[in-house]
Amino acid sequence: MRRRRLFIGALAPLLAAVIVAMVLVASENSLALESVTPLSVLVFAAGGIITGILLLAIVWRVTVQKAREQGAREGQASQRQTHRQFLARLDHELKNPITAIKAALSSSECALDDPQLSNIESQANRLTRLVGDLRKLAELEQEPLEWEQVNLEEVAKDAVDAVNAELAALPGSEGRQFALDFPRVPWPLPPILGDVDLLFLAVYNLISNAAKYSPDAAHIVVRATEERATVVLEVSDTGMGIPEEDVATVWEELARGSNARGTVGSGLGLALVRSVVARHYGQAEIMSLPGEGTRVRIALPKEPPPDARATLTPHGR
Amino acid sequence: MLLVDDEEAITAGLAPFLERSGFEVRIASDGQQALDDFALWKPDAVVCDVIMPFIDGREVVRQIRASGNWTPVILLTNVGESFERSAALDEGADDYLNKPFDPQELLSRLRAVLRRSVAGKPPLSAASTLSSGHLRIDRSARRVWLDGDEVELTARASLLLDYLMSHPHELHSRDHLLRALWGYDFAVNTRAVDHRIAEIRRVLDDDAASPQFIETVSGMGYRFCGTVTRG
Repeated sequence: MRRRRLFIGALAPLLAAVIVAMVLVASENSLALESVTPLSVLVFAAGGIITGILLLAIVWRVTVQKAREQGAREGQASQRQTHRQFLARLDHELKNPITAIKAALSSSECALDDPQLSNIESQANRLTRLVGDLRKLAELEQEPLEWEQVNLEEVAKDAVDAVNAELAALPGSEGRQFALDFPRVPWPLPPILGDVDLLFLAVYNLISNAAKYSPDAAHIVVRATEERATVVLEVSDTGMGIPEEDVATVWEELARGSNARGTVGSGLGLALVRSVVARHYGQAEIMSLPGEGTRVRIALPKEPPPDARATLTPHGR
Repeated sequence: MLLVDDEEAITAGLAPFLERSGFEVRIASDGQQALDDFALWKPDAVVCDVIMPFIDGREVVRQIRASGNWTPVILLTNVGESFERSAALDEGADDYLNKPFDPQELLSRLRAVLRRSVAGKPPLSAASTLSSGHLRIDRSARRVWLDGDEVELTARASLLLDYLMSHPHELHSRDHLLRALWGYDFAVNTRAVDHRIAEIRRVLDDDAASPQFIETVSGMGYRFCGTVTRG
């Protein structure tokens, strides 16, 4: 609408000129303008006018573009804000019923070794975790990070130990073949500046996912490399893989690969990973071949960009 | 004891459990009723939800404390509120639990605050500075001194030390510490607690084998074993 008005506005002088010219022709008016202005000045003026018009057009275009981008950014920000509020509200509304279920279970006259009751209890605990993860996800975008030097190799080792311990607790599980491939030559992986608890959470989720979606005795490799300003960590598995059409959406909250329905999981793990990586100004990507395996790669800057450091805690270094 | 929550489903579930554990329980469903019942009935302990209409849990604690009464109070805080953000210590609550909590955990917190409380005296959790031997912490400024020299702890480690020190001689499970201090409970992130404990020990030069301050209770959690005094 606005564009059409502008277009008509731009054509108006031409239309007016055409009308005046037709009137002049119709009235057989022979008025003529004889110019005493030198041709050089006319050429100069014409060039100036054309440049002016072009400049105006460019300025106008840039302004329109900026407004459009600003609108998109604001739209995204408000969408994220709404999303966060929704998660926070969901969390708030769920916590009371779960507390009530747990309270009722504790008051129950029946013994908790009743399989029905212990099932209710374990599901209540599962809900507790889900709610906790949902809230954490909402908080992750805003909460201040506690920056300190983090040794990713230690983090990865601890995460593998944690996943190994969980696998060992599963009846009949043969575990997985874990391999840690961290550089030694010419030097070990340097520490990065980050929030150690959140980085552990991210790495743990990647390794736990790799174990969850691969069969007994499958190979899982955690590999790290150093680049100029970043450190790259890859978790690869020989698991079931993710169908091509799902690869783009597995980062979303509650999204799960269509072939993953049979496996217990909240669908929040990768969303948490994405948030943690984003808060560290890093990038995460996934490569997968169904039936072959999956590789998740996170690239984290060794230090956050200078403008982010203003928010570092005094214990940051 | 007085149990305060505006959700009937919660009080109806918790009251029989607490009664079976030996408590005489009275229920209030909002802040005003809680204050009325408190004045009338003089309970030995109060368990109070934070988010309630009209007078919320924090205001209930403030009003109880304003009258110079130091009856132990446990606040049931909103999930996601960590020790720091809940600011429970500023209002003089003795302890707090994040919803949803395990009723057993409430019971053990309740017994602990009752054991700890000395009639008519404010709890350690309401003191602004605490000392144990040659260790001293300023809780509001989050500063720590050892033999008079200030030492540096990360923010989370200093919160953890603060919490353990203001609840001494109590066994705190890793899960409880994680929920209380980090405000979340990811299935396996109790590693976070172990790492901060290691940091505190390193900075305070506390030997895990013969600890002066923090004791590991094998397979269970941690306990502050030093004698803690106010100031």
